[in-house]
Amino acid sequence: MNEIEIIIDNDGTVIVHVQGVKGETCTGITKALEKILGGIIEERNLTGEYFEYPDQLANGGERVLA
Amino acid sequence: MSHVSKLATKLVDKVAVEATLKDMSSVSYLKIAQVGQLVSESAGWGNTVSGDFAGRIKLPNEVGDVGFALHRKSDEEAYELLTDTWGRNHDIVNEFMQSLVKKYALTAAVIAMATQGYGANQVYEDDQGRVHMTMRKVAY
Repeated sequence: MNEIEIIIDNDGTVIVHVQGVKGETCTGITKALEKILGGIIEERNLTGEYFEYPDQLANGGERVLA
Repeated sequence: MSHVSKLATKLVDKVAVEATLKDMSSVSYLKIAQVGQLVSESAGWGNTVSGDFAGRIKLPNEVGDVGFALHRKSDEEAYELLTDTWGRNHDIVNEFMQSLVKKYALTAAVIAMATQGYGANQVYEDDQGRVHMTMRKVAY
């Protein structure tokens, strides 16, 4: 499921955990959040789904027409 | 999952700062400057602080308050707290600033993620004081 978990520590440190979004879209989703928090990314770990194609391209780039 | 990021929080967004200050029970009243102007508040021993926001922080046990202002030198910089930190005010002001930053982070996250179509599904505070928020795509 496409879900974002945000944990805010007492000193204002924010952990953002994006789940269920494939490809580079997942970092795009949090760009507005990064900007409004001042743009300081202390650490970022890309996980498996980041390197997967989005669903519409999962068949090797051919579009599937309904 | 797709990515995990750790972000620091700086007070940079005027709309989110205003919403946060209005929501803080420790702020007894708040003045908001018009564009191009400043608002001021007295903050101990005849000093006055000025900024885009000014108001008073309640002291514990209803024994008075302390004036403050939040100001930033330019749109590219973060808001700074200006106030009287003398004596016992020091701890109260530090506590206020920590609370402000933490609440700002929550308010800012809700505002920013709403622009991406996400809404808060669950929000709770754990026994360490950390705020946990789960957000999902909002169905229109």
